[in-house]
Amino acid sequence: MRVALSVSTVGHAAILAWGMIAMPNVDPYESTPQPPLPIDLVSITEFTQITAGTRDGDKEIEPAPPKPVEEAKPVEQPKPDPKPKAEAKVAPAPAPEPEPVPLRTAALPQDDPEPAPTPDPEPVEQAEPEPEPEPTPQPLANAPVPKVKPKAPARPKPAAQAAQKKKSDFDADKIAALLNKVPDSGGGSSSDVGSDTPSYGAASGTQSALSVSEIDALRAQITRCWNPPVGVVNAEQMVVRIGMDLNQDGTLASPPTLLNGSSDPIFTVAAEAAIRAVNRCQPYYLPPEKYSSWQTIHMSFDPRELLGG
Amino acid sequence: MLDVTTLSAPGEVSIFSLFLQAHIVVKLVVLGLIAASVWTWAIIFEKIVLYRRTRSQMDRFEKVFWSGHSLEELHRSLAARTNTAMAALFVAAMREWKRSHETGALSMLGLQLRVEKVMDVTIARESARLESRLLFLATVGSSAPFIGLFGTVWGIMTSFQAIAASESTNLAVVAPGIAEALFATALGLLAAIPAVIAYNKLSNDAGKIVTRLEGFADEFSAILSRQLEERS
Repeated sequence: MRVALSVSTVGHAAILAWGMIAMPNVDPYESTPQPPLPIDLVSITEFTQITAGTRDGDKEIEPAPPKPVEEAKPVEQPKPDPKPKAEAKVAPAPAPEPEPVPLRTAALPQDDPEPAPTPDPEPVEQAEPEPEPEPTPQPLANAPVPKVKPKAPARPKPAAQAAQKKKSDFDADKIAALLNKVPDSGGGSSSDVGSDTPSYGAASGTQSALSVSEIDALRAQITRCWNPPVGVVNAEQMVVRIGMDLNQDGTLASPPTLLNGSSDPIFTVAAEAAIRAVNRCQPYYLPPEKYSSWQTIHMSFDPRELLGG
Repeated sequence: MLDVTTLSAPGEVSIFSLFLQAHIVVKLVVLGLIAASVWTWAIIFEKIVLYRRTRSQMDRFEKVFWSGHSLEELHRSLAARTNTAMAALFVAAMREWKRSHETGALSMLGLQLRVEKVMDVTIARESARLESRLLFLATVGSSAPFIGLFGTVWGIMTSFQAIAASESTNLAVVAPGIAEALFATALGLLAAIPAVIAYNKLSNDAGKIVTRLEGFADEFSAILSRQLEERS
């Protein structure tokens, strides 16, 4: 036994010694620091607004190169701004500068009549150079544009082109190049969802429109409560439009009203089902800060949509 | 005790530094497991040698026994020295036989019974000698994983305390505790696996040897009973 014990002890000692000799040679762990990944939290409202914004950006930006966008801003802040902006333009090219001013006076009356008097003093200062350049470039550049698009942003393009023309005696190729450039610099997609003209802003100060996902959520909530009459032949006659007034807490302020009517008894049944659904589903969970946009909701109940999926 | 925290840089994983960094309980567990492993292997070596020697002795004895030599002579040559296994069985039976003849006991049935009793006792003693300490292997095989697990639990507790103390779940905080914890489990398995395998193998071998002894005892008892009948 003693022999066996000593053999065993020696064996273990040998293994331990080997472990101590061999293992320290293992390279120490090296941890390479991971570069931090920046993460932006985007709320669902912002996300939907972003896509809507790029879409409708197209309408304004397409005709106007970057500068006109700056010029469009003064419309938001009526009186004081137009002057400095217009004067800032003086530096690059003296000739085209007079144009924006009369243009705005032409355009502004749609939005508000007040700015009109203020720009007036300026044209007086630089009234002399004006008349000659203005009439000439506009018909030459693209005559239809100013007439077709009445809004302020549409005009500045001829203005920029006029500047080009002042410097380079009307080169048709250059105009073509400029025109080609325009869509590139615009960089928008096409849609007319959301706000298309600059406005004074909502009273609440935040985005007031319900996002697509919020509208979908509302629709889903009501659909859950809705039991449309089944087995009816003329389903297309059963489209019920309901108007509902909501309180800020999402409950109905007044009983829902029928917006369309029919003498068909089946329609009456469908209308009752829709009104029942609206009554049953309250309160509605909608963002309170957008109350102004969902205070009154018009909703159409179409059984075909439900059946179709 | 050494101030072990300064001994090794963080992240070092050699076995020795792992052991030095560990909590005292984990150290005790590790030492106990190493001792168990040493003793286990000592038993394994000893039993392997013993069984091999026993088998070769039995082979030699059987060769001599069945070679046709006189049993009296065989007994005379074997009686002087200490015998094991089959030889011990034979010597014990022959001693009882001779003693009965010297005293002039007449009952043949009683003689037969006494010889068988003596051989049974010898077999029991031999099998006890063969199987001694095998129980330790079984104990180690079943309990070493639990002991290692205990060390592991303690190491995990240490790492949780480290998390609480540093208020961070950084890997550098958690890793040493988990490493020493896993080290304890590894040692437990290292001790248990050979113990279990060896226990199964050795107890099987011991069983075979004892069966062989019993077979020889039966045969010898048959020879003796034939002799008794021829004499009477």
